[in-house]
Amino acid sequence: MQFNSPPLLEVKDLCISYRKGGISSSIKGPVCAVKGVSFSVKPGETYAIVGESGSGKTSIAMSVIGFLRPLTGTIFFMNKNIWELDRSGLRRLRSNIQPVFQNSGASLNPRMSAGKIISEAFHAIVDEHEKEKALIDLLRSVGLDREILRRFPHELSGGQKQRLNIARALALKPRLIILDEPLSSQDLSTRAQLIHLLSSFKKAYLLSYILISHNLSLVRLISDRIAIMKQGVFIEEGATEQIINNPSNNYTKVLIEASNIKNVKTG
Amino acid sequence: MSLITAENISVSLGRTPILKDINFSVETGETLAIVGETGCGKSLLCKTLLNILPQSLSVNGNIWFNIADKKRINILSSGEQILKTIRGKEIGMVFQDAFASLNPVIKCGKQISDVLAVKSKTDHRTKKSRIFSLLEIVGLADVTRIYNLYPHQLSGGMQQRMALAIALAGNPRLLIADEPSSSLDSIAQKQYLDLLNRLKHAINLTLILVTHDLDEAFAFADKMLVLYAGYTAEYGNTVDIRTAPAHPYTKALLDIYQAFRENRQPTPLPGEIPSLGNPPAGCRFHPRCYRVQPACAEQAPPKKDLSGRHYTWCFNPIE
Repeated sequence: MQFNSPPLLEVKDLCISYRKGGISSSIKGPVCAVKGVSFSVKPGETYAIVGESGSGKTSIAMSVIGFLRPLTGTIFFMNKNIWELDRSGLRRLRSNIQPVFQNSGASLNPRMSAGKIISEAFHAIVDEHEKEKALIDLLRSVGLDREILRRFPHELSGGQKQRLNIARALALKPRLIILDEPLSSQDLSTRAQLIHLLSSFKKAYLLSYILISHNLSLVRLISDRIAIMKQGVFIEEGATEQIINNPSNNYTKVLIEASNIKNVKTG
Repeated sequence: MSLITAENISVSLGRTPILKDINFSVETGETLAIVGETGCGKSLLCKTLLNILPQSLSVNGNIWFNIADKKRINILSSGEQILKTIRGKEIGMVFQDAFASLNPVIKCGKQISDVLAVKSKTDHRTKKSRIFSLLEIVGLADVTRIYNLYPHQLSGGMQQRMALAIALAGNPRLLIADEPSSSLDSIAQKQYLDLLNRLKHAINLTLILVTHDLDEAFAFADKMLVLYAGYTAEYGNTVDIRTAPAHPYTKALLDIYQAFRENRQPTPLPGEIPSLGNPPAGCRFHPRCYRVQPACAEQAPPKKDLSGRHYTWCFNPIE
C-alpha cells in the first residue's frame, strides 16, 4: 500500500435514497439507504465495508461504479468527480473500476461461452492471435485451463464461475476492484483459492479493493482498513486489527461474535 | 434402535452414479451433520430421505425409518399413502432458500394453517393459537402482525424462521435442515443457529443438518458424514473426525478451517471438484490428493473401520 500517495478514491458525504417500493410496499416516502458516508481508498489498499443485510453496503458500491446516482455527496476517482463525467468519460472510468458480484452465476451471460465472455473485454485488441494469447495468459493467472473457453456458465463450478468473473474484471487492468460478497456463496476450499488469488493480484498489480462482506473473519484476512456499517451510516472505521481487537461500538462486538460460530453454546 | 438408517444408498442418472453407497444411522435426539462442498450430493441425499427425487433418477438401497410401536418402514419402497403420513408429520424439512419454499401469494398465518389442516383436524380457535405458539417458538416477535404478512414483507432471517415454523407444524420427530443459514448474514445466521440449538434440546428433536460450514457441524453435530463428489469420504463421531481426520480430503478442509480461525492465509487444495457427469476413475479425490497411491486411480477405496465409531474410505488414510 502507498501510504503517502493521494487517495485513488475519495467519497464525501454520500447520501443515497430510493423512492418507495411497488404497489405492495408498506414503506411510504423515499428510503434513505446511505446517510452521509465518507471514506477514501489509497492505491494498493483493501478497504472493507462490513454490515448486516440491508445496511446499504451494495448501494455504496453501485454508486462508486456509476450505476446509482447519489442524492447528495461527491465521489472522486483519480481526481475526477465521477458523477460529473459525460458518457465517454464514464465508460473510461468503468475500465478502471471493475465489480465482482456475489452471485457468480447471475453475472455471467448464460448464452455465451466463457471464451466469448472474456474476449468481450479484449475488444481493443484487433489481432486475433494476440487476443488469444492475452486471453489464455489471463485465464492461467486465475488458475483456469484453456479448455474452459468452450464451456458455458452452467457447465462451470461455483469457484470456476467466480474466477471467471475475477478474470473478466482483471482483463481491463483496472485500478480498483469492488468485491461485493465475493466469497459468501463459496465453499471452504474455493474460498481458500479465491483469497489466495485476490492477495496475489493485489501485490502483483498494486490493485485496490473495496471488499463488501458481512463476515468479519474473512474480511480480516485481506483488508487493511474496515468500516462497520449499520442502517446506512458508518458507525466505526479504522485499521483492521484495531477494529477486531478493540471494537468501540457494541454492534461491532456483536458482528465479531457472530462471525465466529464457535460461540454457539451447545449442550 | 436408530430413528433413521440409510443402507447402501445409490442414486444415478442413467449410467452416471451421482451418489454411491451412502450409509449412516441417526439415533433419537442425535444430530448428524452432512458436510461437503457444492455438488457433492448433500441436497440430493436429503431428498432421497423423503423419497421426493425426480423420476429421472434411479435409487437403490434402503432407508429404514422407525415409526411407532417399534415398527420400521423402508421409505424407498413405501407407497404414497404411507409416505404422506411420514412427510411433514414424522420428518420435517427446511430448505436452503426459504423464500422459494414459501408461497408468495399466501399470508404467513394461512401457510401454517394449511399445514395444520392436513396434519391434524382441529377447530379454528385451537389452530390459531397453535399458529401463534409456533411463531413464538421460532422466535418471531409480534406474532399477530406476522400472521397477516406476506413472505416478501419479512427479512431473510424471518423467512427462514417461517419455513422452520411450517416444518415444525406437524410435530416431526426428525428435522432435515438443508443449509438453513447459508443465505443469511452472520448476525441472522448466529441467531438462527442458536434457535435451532435451543429447539433441539427443548423438544428432543433429531436433526440432520446439511452444511458446508465446519463451524456449524462442530457446534451441533454428534456425528458427521463427509461427502466428496457423491462418495463418502469419512463418517463417524464429530470429536473423532475433528481431532483425528483420517481422509486426506477431511484433513484438507480442517486445515483451511483452522487457517481461517487463526487469521492465516489458507493453503488452497490443488485442482477442482470433479464434475459428477465425468468423474475420475477409482477414488474421486485422487487427482487432488497428496497421499495418492497407484491403486487410488484404479478402484474405489475400501471402507476402513478406525475405532468402531469412525470410518473412512481411503487406500492410504492418515493414522
